[in-house]
Parts: sequence; structure tokens; C-alpha cells
Amino acid sequence: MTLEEFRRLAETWGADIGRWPPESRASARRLASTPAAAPVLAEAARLDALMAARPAVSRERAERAALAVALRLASDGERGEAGHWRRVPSSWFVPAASIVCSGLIGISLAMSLPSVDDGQIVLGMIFDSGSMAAGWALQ
Amino acid sequence: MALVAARNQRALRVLMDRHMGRAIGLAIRVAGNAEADDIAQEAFLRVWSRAGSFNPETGRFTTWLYRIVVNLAIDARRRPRHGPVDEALEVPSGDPGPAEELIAAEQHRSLTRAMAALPERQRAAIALFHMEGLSGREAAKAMGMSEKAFESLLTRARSALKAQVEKTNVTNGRCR
Repeated sequence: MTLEEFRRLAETWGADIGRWPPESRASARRLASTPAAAPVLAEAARLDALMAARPAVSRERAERAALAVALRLASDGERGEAGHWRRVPSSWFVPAASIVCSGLIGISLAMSLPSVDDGQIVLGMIFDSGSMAAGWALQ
Repeated sequence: MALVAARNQRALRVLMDRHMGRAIGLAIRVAGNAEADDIAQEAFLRVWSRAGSFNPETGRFTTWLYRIVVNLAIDARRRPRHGPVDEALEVPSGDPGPAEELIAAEQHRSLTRAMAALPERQRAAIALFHMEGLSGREAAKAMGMSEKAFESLLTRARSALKAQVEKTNVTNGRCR
């Protein structure tokens, strides 16, 4: 590798030889330690240092932008996985929920009913009180 | 990305947590501070809508995302602007500190002005390779060009940036 090739590579890829094209690295490293090549790398390193700083983007700014995307998707009717209901397959969810609800209602009724031993009250809840008054009641 | 392609919005949020800051940073470098947030948001909306077209075998997600951001930023820069370019590219600096920080801030402003004077593709090349740390191959892919073409673009970009920085420093020196 000539010094001119070395300079051209430094002016393109910067001072870090590890970021140069792989096929040129070995010969560049050999040349880098020579007095003629060292100033070339130093000059490239100055420009590299100037460019190395990334714009500071605060976490809050990034989060605001992410929230704006989420809101846009929501307003576009894109619910994705965020909507928990969407994750439940509707084909079996509705019948299963009906069975569970029926069971809960049954348990609730059973607990609110009086003891089975109290037969008169139970019959009174089933038959109207007029029938009971006409002699249908248990004696 | 497979989850995003399957319309999993939670997976998109994870991606945004990881990469939104960098997407905004890249957009700032190419299109300016004022439009950066809109560009980054639009980029993730495209990630969402085009997730099915991403092929992990052909490259990393970041390279794909950067390509989207760069294209949007270049388009944004080509639209008519309302303010001066260097003002648009100016990034708010942090709290004032010791002398070294003031010097660094001045160097940063000098770089910002120099970057503003470059064509957008040259700015994108510098942002991807030198600021985001992508390899030459990845940066070329992110810009949708061959490695050789990217090398040529980067050479011109660095040379132009160096000339602009020197010009800015000379101008500032004369003013003082």
C-alpha cells in the first residue's frame, strides 16, 4: 500500500483502521506506524472526534414520539395485541362465558334460597300464596 | 419483528423503546431538529405497516429502519422549508458547563453548520457511518446503494465536511 492509498482510505473511512475495508487493513496497519502515515491518521482522527457526537435525544422526547405512534395506530383502528379482547378467540369465548355466567347465577341463587328443610317457605316461593291459603299448604 | 408482522402492537412498542431515540437522532442529522420527530414517527408507522416485507436474512432491523428514516428525511429536506437550514439542524445544547464543554458546544455548532451545507445524501452517509457507527456495508445497504458507490459518497462527504468546518472556523476567527 502506498502512502497515497493510505491517505485516501483515511479520508474516506476515518482514523480507525478496524473500520476500513477488510482487505486493506493488514497493510494499512503496517504502514500506520511509519512517521509519514501517523500525521494522516491524526488528522483523520480530529474530524472523527468532531463527528462522533450524536445529537442528544432525551428519553422523554423518544417516549413522546412513541406515544404519538401508538395514538396514531389506535385512531386508525389498529388495536393489535394491545386490545386484550382481540387476543381471545371469539368462536369459543362467547359460549364459554355464557356457561360460566349461568353457573355463577345458579350458585348465587342456591346460596340465597333458604334451607331445604323449611318446606313451606320453599313451596310458598314456587306456588302462589292464594293456592296455599285454599288448603294446599302442608300441614 | 415477526411479532410486529403478526400485528402485535406490544412488540412494536418494544422496538420503539429501543430505537426511537436513534431514529430521531438520525433524522436530526439529515433533516433537522424541527422535523425529526415527525420523521421518526412516520418511520415506525411504516415499520408497522410493512413489517411483513422485512427479511432478517438480508440484514439487521436497524439497517432497515435507518433506510426508512434516511429516505423520509431526504424527502422532507426536499420539501420547501420555513426557516434557515442551519437553524433547522441546530440541536438544543445541554446545560452550560466548564470551559471544555463550551469548547465542545462550539465545535458542535461548527459541525452543525458544516453539515447543513452538505447535500442530504452526503449528510446521511456521514450520519450512518460516523455517527451511528454502521459498517460500510450496512450503511450502503441503508442507503440502498452499492458499497463502492457508498465509499465514493462518503469520500466526497468527508472532504466537503472538512472544507466546511475549516471555512466556518476561518469565518469565526475573522469575526472575533
